[in-house]
Amino acid sequence: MLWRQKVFVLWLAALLVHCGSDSYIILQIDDNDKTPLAIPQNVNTLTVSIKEVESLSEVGAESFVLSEEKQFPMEILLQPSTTTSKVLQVAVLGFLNTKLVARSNFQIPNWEDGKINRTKPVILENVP
Amino acid sequence: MIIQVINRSLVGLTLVAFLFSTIHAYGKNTSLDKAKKAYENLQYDKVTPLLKRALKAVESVNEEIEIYELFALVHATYARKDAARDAFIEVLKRAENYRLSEDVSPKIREVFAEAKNVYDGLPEKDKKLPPPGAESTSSHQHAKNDAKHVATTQQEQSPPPTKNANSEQEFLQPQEQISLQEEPSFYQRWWFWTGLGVVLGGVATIYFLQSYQQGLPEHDYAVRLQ
Repeated sequence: MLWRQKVFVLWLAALLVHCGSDSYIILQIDDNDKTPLAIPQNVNTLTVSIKEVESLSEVGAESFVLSEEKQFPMEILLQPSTTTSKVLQVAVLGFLNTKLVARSNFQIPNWEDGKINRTKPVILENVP
Repeated sequence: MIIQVINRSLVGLTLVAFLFSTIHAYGKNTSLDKAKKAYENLQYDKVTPLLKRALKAVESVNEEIEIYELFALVHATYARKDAARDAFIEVLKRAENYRLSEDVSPKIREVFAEAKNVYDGLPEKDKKLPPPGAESTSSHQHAKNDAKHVATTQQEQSPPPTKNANSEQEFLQPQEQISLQEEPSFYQRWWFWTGLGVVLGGVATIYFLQSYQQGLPEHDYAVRLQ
């Protein structure tokens, strides 16, 4: 194997290592200081919906029954695939049983491959 | 996730292939391979130094035959008939039934015929190489001596450019003699690339293993995206 071929193989390996690394997005969700959301008195279910910004097609959605042991702030882990769009629109909705009590809409701009991408803390706004 | 697993498998396979290629390179006379390539690419000035190096690392009679055959072809190309003839004689000593392929030029065929005549006229004891049991030492030594002989022959017997010599020969001969004295650069040495490969391969392996064992970061809830 010539040295040029060895360099190419190493480059290919590095590229594959880079592409093969897992990517994560962590949403840091907090409540509003003025009207704190106690679990489960004020809110007991959280729904997260993630859409592509361009096509507005949903790429992920999940609804969690909140555990009393976990109060705000909390961290929600998103696990994108290799085909997930780089810019995402997120909607987080807080329910007390079936009543919507808090919400937040925000964008995740350009999350990076192979890294743990942390968003800035997102505040859930109370819905009157 | 499946794509990532496939990617990681590919990384592993690539690293294994790289290590095997490096290990495999030890078992091959790489100088001979390079000499063949240089000859095929018409880089004749590089062929002789590579063949000299190949003779030092020769491991079988077949390799010796290939080396002397190339020596003969290059010498014949440079119109050094005596050196080409001597190289062909070395080939015949190792393979009495050696024949040129059909597509060889008449010029080379003429030199080979002369070499065959000289070889046929040699006493029987001079036609034989040392017995196979002594191949690893005496043959190797013999090869080294031949390398010196061919190199010396080449330097001593290179005919000075004559009025009738064509311009290509006048240009190529001095260039080849300069090449003979050139030392390969550090980046052309096997140990440089092997060392670099080991270092980079090690770093890639550590990185690969670390990322594989890293697991999920801490979180309260998780959503998998498409």
